[in-house]
Amino acid sequence: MFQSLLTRRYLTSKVMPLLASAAVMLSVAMELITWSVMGGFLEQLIQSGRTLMGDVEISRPQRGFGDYEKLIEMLEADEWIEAATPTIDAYGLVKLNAQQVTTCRIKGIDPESFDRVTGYYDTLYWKPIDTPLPRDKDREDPRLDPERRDTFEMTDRLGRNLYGLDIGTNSDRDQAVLGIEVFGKRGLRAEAGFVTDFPVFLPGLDVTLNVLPIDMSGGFLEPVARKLQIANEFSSNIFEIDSQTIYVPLPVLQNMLKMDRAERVDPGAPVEFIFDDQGNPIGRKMPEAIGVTPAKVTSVLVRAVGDHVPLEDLRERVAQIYERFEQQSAEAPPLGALDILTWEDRNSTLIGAIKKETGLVLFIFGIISLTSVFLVLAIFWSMISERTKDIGILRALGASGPGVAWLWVRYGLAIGVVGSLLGGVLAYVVITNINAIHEWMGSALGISIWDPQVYYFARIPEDFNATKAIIIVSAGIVSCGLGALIPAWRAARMDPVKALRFE
Amino acid sequence: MSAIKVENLHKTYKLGKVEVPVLRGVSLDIESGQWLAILGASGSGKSTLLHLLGGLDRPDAKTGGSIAYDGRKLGALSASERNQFRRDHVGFVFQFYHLVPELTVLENTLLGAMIRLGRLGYMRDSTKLRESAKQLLDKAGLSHRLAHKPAQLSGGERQRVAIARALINDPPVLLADEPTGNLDQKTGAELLDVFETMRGKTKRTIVMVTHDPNVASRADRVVEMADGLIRKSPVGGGARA
Repeated sequence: MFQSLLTRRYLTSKVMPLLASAAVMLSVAMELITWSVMGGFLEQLIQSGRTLMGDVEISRPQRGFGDYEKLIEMLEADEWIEAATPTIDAYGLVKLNAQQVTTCRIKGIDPESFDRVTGYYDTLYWKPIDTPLPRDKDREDPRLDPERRDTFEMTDRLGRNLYGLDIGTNSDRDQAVLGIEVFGKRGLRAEAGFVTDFPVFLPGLDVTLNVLPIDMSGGFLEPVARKLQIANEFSSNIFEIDSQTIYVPLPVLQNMLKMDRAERVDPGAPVEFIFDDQGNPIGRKMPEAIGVTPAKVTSVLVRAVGDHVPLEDLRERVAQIYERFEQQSAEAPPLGALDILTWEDRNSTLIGAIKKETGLVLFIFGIISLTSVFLVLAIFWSMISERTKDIGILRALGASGPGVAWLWVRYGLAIGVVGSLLGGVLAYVVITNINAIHEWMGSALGISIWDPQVYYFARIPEDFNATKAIIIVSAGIVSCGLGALIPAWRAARMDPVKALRFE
Repeated sequence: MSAIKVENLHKTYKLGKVEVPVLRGVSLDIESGQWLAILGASGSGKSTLLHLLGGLDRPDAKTGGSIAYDGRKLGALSASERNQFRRDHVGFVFQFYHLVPELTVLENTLLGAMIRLGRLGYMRDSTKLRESAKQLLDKAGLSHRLAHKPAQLSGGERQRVAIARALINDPPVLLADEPTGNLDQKTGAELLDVFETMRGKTKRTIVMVTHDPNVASRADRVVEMADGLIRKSPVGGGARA
């Protein structure tokens, strides 16, 4: 009983326990913020990657493979597979105007099936929204403007179809969708690395794509340029993708890369000329077609049904289906010539590095947090010296050694509970406002810690995980109890006569 | 019948490598209900004797002698039994009051009961105990100071709180170490009146250590200590001799 009374009074009576609680609070908050941000970063990376690239990818870079429609039909017939979509990946130069030219990953997609695999429609940025983003307290987001609703409905529609009205000529034409950060570096992103909340509206402008097709032997052909209208922009929240990717209609990229359907001729067939009325050669007859080369793609992305199919099992299943496809299609390259990988396989180096980095950072902070144990120990050691006379009084009144020890352990635990809970609250406030804090640090102090070019995401993860909070807060409390053990043992062993005579 | 019997008590302290004998064979009989004053100069060993009487310290292992309460020897008690003995049988009053500064007057008074009864026992009897504490403090003239902290009290008031705290468990023996040593003469005299009042009808045994013959004269009996020994025993009590 006396322990609880004295604990309460000691806690509120001196600066020392407040300092100890503050130290524990900062330690717990630091651990929790680090774990939440790094863990959230990893989780976001895995989830975003899975969303954008499907669960499993069949790929044959550059050369591609044909008859993919049949392969997709076979894949989608499987009970484990929700959807599959063909894509082409190529690198090229993208020009917005004379000053703004950048290299990009150009991705040819079929919007409808690509959406079923990746949730593409949800990533389109310029579309009407009814509720502002949490940070947009002043409702400055132009997408909220009811007068511009028609415009954003149109950009949404164009982005979904990658085809539609050319504003200049009033006729339909092919469209492109840019990653929201592709031209962001020119001013949408401040020097300190911060993303402006509302990017400049690019739809309606033209963008010129330049790609370098290769022939069957891998040699370079003449560069091909094509001008498309920007239908919309997309935001995946992965900086790496948003800054380097442009979506165009699959047939457009197939055509530019000479991967579209073509008649095959015999290269050894004799040349036949076409003559005019005077008998002058005016052209060359096309040799007679001996077959058809089907359109090709470089990848097929596969999405599993639900979230419960293990990725490794799905990859095996896709490989089995491909083997069947290979037997049925003359255009199918052998299984060994392709890569069939899960998203995690494709990014295993990156994910592994981040997991290790998270573990390392946690370990380092864990070591640093051990200082809180020693801090509590040091503070308690000093407090027990200061409270020597109280210990003597308690012993004179008949308190036992263990009873006195429990007073101090309990006091340590109380400091742990107060400090750790406050640390949890502080961590919650910081984590849920971490982007606002970061931006304030940038604007007020010129400090930028989170560079999207390094960490892939434009925004710092704001996920406060209750399980992690419980673990860290409990560890904080236990640490304080441990820190108080040695001083408590010292108090228990204190000679009551010496304690009473202590000056 | 002797309530407390002290026989050939020895106590030696070590100061580094030097051994300092403080008690060198003290023998003393204290009758039940007696107010005994132990008079002596500083360093005579009287406080050490009081600590040994209260079970706060142990006599020397080899030649230490013995202390017996109604025939029950303190030296035979285990550590936990000695704690129990202090909780049930003795109340301490110290020269420098030794109140816990963070607790109020009422809480300081109740501290001994909290320790004796434990959480459940205290919670069960808390109303009764609080009432007893208030009565003790009322007798000590502190009923208007219940919620005050020790720092808000005068020296005499603090010492009266210490007496109330010592008596909350109604111990048969009260051990007082220079209870007026830190007070002026008038306040000291008033405090001794409180002692008298608190002693009550039960006539509990009081052993009081003092260096002041005037204070000692309030006791039933006075013994004088010097150099770790009882010089004169018994000496007739001052007022009541």
